[in-house]
Amino acid sequence: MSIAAISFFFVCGAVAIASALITVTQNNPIRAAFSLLAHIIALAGLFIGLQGHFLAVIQLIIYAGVVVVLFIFTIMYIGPVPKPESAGRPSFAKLFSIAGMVVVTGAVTYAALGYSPALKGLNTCPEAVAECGQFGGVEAFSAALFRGGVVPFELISILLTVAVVGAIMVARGRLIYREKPRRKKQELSIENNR
Amino acid sequence: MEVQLGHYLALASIIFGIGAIGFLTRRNVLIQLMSIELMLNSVNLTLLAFNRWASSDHAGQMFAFFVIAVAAAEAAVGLAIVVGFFRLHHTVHTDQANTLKH
Amino acid sequence: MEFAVERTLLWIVLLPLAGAIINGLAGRYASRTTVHTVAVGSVAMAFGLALLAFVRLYLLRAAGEQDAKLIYTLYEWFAITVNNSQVSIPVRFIMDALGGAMTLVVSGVGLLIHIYACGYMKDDPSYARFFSYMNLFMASMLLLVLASNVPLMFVGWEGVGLCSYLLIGFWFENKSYAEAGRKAFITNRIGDFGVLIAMFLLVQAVGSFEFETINRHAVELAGRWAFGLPALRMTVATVATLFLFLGCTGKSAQIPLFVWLPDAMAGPTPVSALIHAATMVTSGVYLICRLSPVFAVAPTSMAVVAIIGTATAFLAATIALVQNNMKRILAYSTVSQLGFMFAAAGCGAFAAGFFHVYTHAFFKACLFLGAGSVMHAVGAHGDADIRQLGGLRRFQPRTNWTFLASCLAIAGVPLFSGFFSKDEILVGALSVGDFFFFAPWLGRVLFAVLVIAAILTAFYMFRLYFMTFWGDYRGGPSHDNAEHGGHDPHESPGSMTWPLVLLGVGAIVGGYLWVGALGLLHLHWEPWVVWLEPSLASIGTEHHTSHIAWALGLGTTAAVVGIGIAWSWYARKDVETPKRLKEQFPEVHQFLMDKWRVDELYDATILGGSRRLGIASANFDNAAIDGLLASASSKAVKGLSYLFTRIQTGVVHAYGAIMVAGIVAVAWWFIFPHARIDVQLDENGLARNPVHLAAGEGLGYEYQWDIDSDGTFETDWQSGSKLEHRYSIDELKPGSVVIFAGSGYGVHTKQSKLMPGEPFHLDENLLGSWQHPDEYFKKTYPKLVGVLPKIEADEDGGVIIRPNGAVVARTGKRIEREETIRVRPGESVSIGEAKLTIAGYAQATVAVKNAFGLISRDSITFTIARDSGSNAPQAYLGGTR
Repeated sequence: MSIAAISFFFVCGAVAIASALITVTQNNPIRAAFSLLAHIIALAGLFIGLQGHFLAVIQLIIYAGVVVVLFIFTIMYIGPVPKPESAGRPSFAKLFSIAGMVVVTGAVTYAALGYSPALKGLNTCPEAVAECGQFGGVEAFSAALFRGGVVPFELISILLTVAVVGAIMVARGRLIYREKPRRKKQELSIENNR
Repeated sequence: MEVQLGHYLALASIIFGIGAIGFLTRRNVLIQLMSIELMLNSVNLTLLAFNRWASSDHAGQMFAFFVIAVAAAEAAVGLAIVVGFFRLHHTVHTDQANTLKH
Repeated sequence: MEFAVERTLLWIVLLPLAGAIINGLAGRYASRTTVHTVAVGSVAMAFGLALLAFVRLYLLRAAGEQDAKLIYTLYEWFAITVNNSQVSIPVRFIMDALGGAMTLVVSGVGLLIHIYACGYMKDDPSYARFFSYMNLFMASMLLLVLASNVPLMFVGWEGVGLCSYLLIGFWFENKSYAEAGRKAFITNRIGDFGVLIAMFLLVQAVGSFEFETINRHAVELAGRWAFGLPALRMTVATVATLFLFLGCTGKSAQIPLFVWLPDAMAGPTPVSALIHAATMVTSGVYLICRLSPVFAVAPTSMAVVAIIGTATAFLAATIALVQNNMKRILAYSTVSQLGFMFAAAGCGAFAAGFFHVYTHAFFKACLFLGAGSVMHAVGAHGDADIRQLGGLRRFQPRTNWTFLASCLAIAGVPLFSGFFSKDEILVGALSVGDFFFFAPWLGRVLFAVLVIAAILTAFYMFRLYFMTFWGDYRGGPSHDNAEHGGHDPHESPGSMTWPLVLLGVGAIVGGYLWVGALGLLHLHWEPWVVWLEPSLASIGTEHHTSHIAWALGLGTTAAVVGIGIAWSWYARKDVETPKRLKEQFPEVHQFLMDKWRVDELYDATILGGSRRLGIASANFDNAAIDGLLASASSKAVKGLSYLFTRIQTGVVHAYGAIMVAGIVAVAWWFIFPHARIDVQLDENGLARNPVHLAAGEGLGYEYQWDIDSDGTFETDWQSGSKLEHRYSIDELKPGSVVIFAGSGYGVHTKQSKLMPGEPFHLDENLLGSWQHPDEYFKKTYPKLVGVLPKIEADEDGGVIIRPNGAVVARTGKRIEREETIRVRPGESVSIGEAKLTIAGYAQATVAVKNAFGLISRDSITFTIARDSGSNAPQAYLGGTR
C-alpha cells in the first residue's frame, strides 16, 4: 500500500473525527451543520479508499447535497436560538452517559485495532457474467442491487414517499390550539332536533 | 504499515461514540439530529469496510445504500418534527418536549 | 340444452332464498307492490317447480319405477373422517315420495298464506322485513324437506328455527313478544342438541349422513349396543332415535318442550298459520317418517314416541278447553293435533301420522287465517278474546263458512278430511298389538286416551266456533283505537278470503286420498298409502276389520259428543252450565287456566336452578375472581407501574443515561469472550478417533486446548479454532461405558457409564428373542431358564458378563452358559438380538482469550468408539498401531 493511500486514510480519518467533534460541541447550529458537511466529505473520501466509488458519490449527493441543506434551511427558518444552553453544573445523567459511552467506545476501539485479517484481492467477474465492472463502481453495484435487492429498493421508494408526505403533514401543522368555527354545525344539529 | 480493517473499525467506533455522546448530552434538537447522522455514517463506514474485506459480493455496500436512503427519510421527517415542535414551543430544546408526560 | 327436472329441486330452494335476499336488502326502498310481488312470486315459482318435479316423479312411478326419486347434487359441501374413512357431505337434494308430498304441502300452503299476508300485513311499517323473513322461512323449510343428508337437513332445521324466532318476535317493540321469540329459540336449542347427538351417533355407526344409507343400515343399528356398552341394554337405533325424538319434541312442541308454541302466537297471524301450524311444527313428524326404518327397529323409542304423543294430545286438549283467546286455543289445538301425529308415528302408522300432517296443514292453516280474518275485522291486535266476540257469521259469511268447515274437519266429523286421518290414527293405535312386546296392552290404552282427546278436541273447537260466530256481537275488544271503535265488523278483503276458501275446500276434500273406512266393505281406496309405500317403513301389523269398526264408531261418536256438548252449552242462549262447573271445581279450572302449571314448574326447577347457578357464579366472580385475583394482579401492576413512573422523569438526558447503562451491559457481553466446544459425533452418538474438536469463533479470539481436562494445557495460544486429536488410552477417563443397542423398531441406543464393580441392568424387552431355544439346555440347566445375563464393570474399563439363560455371542461364537467372560474396551458382544459395545469417554477443555486478554473456558464430555478386536490395552487406540 502506497504512502499516499495510507496518508489519505489518516488525513480523512483525522478530518472526520475533528469535524464530528466540532459538530457535537458547537453552540451555533450553522457552524455545526458546516462541520457536519466537512465530516461527510471526509467520509466520502474514506469510502473511496474502500472501493466504494459509487457510494462516495451518493454520500456527497444525498448527505452533502440534501440532508445538510435541509438542516441549514431549517436552521434559517427557525432563526437564532432564543435561549443559549444552560451552562450550569452538568447533571449526573450527562456525566454517566459520557463516561459510559467513552468506556464502551474505547473498549471497542481497542478490540478493533487488534483485528487485522488479510486483505484478499478484489473479486473478478464470474465466468457466466460477461461484464461486471469494477467493484463498487456504478455498473457492478447496480447489477448487484437490481439482481439481489430489487424488492427492498422498491420498498425504499415507498418509504421515501411516505416520509415526504409525513414530513409535509407534520410541518404544515393542524392548528390544534385554535378554535374551530362551530356555528354551522350547531345550526345543523338544531335542524336535526326539529 | 498497512491500513487494516481494524483501523477502519476503530475510526468508525470513535465517530459513533462522538455521535452518541453528542446525542445524549446536547439539548438542541438540531444538533441531536446531526449526531444521529454521525452515528449512521459511522455504521456505513463499518459496512463498507467489512465489504472491502469480504468482497465476494456487494452486500455491505447495498446495505449502506439503504441506510443512506433511510437516513434521508429520517432527516426529512425529523426536521419536519423540529419545525412543528418549534411552532408549538418556540424553542428547539428537547427539555421542553414533555407534553406527553403531562 | 336438455332440461333436467332434477335441477328444479335446486331452484325450489333458491327462489325463495333469492326473494328473501332481495327483500331483505332492497325491500325497504321498494314499494309494497314490488315487495309482495317478489315475495309471492318467488314462492309461486317454487310451488310451480315443485309441481313440475312432482309430476315428473309421478310419471316415473306410473311407469313402474317403484323406487323413483329425483336427485340433484350441487357440490361437495365438506368431508369429515369417521372411523378412518372419508364421509362426504354433499349439498344434495332428493325428492322421493315422502319429500314430494311434503314439498307440495309446504309450498302450496305457503303460497296461499303469502297471498293472505299481503292483505293482512298491508298496514305494517315493516312490510319488506316480514316478507323477507317469510321467504327465508320457505327456503329453509324446503331445504329441510329436500335435503338428502342429515347435516344439510339440519341447516334447514336451524333455518326454520331462526325464522320462527325472528317472526315470533316480529313486533319486537313489545317486550313480551320478543321474550316469546327468545323462549321459542331457547327451547328449540334443547331439541337441536338432541338432533346433533343423534346425527353423530348415526354417522359413527353407519359411516354416512345420507338418509338413504342410514335407513338401509337400520337393522344393523338395531343389532349394536349404544356407545359399545352392553350394560345399557340399549341399541344404537334406540338411543339415536330417542335423541332424534328429543329434537322433534322441541321443534314440534311435544311434552316436555311444548311450552314455547302457545307463546309463539305473539307473531303475526300468517306466521302462526304457516310456521306454527302447517309446516315447521310438523317437521318433527316428517323427520320421524324420513328415518322410519330406524324407528321401526327400536320398539322402545316407538313406545316413548307414542306415549309422549298421546299424553301431549290429551294434555294440550284439556288446556284448550278453558282458554279464551282465539289464537291461544288454536295453538293448544295444534299441540294436541301434533300429539295425534306422534301417537300415530309411535304406533308404526307412519302413513297415518303423515296423512294427518297433510290434512292438518289445510284445516289448521284455514283456522288460523280465519282467526286472523276475525281479528282483522274487529280490530284486535295480537289476539282476540272470544268472550268479546260473537255473531260474526252475519258480518263475515266467507270466514264463517270456511272456519266451520275446518272446525268440522278437525273435530273429525265424517266425510271431512280430519275424520279420515284421525280415523287412521285410531286404527293404527288399536292394531299396534304385539309390536310393543313388553306391553301388549299399550295400544288399547293409547286408543282410549286418544278418543278422549278427540272428544275434547271437538268440544273446544266448537266452543270457539260458537262463541265467535254465533249469538250476538259482544262489542269486540275494548280498545281506544278510533279506527274500529264504533264500526261493525266487516268482511276481509279478497286477498285474505280467497286463500281461506281454497284452504277450506282443502279441509273438506283433502281426506279423500285415503278412505280407510272402505275397509269395512273389503274395498281399498288408499292412493296415499300406495304413494308413500317406498319411503316409509312398515312394522307389519294387520288392520283387522274390527279395529276399523271400533275406530270409526268411537271416532265419530267422539266428534258428535264433543260438538253436542259445545252446542248445548255455548250455542244456545242463557245456559249457565259452564259457569256452574267453573264455580263447582275452581281448582280444576284454575289448574287448566294455568296450563297445568308447566311453565311454573320449569321456572321453579330448570330456570330457577340455572338462575341460582348464575347468581352463585356471579357472586363467585365478584368475590374470588374480581375481588382476589383481578384486584391482586391489578394492584401488583399498579405498584410496579408506580415504580416505573418514578423513572419517567421527563428529562431526556435521564433517559439517555438509562440507555447508556443498557449499552454498557450489552457491550460487556460482547467484550467478554464466550468459549464453546463442539465435537463431531457419528450416528450412534460416538466420536471417532481421531476426534475433531471445534471451538466457537469470535473476533480476535485465541485458543488453548487441554485435551484430557487434567488442568495442564497441551497447546499454546493459537488462532485456529479447530483441533484434531487421537486419544490414547491414558487420556481417557476411568470407568467403562456400555453402549447398548436394543432390538426393535424405534429403540434408541442407550449409553451408561459404569464405575468399577457397578452392575448394568438389562431390559428384557429390548433383547428380542434371547433365551436358549434348545430343549437340551432346558433339561440340563433348568435353573438358568429365563435368567438374564449378569453384567458388571471391571477395573480395566471393560465388563464381565455371565450369560446365564441368554444366548450371548462374541464375534459370531456362542459363549458357554456358565462361563464368565470379560469384554474389553472396544469389543462388542451380542445378547439375544441386542448388541452391547464397550467404549471409553474423554473430556476436553478449551480456553478462549480475546483482544482484551479476557479468558473463558468450556469443557465437553463425549464417548469415543474404540477400535474393536484388539486385546492389548495399549493397542485400543491411536498411536501404537
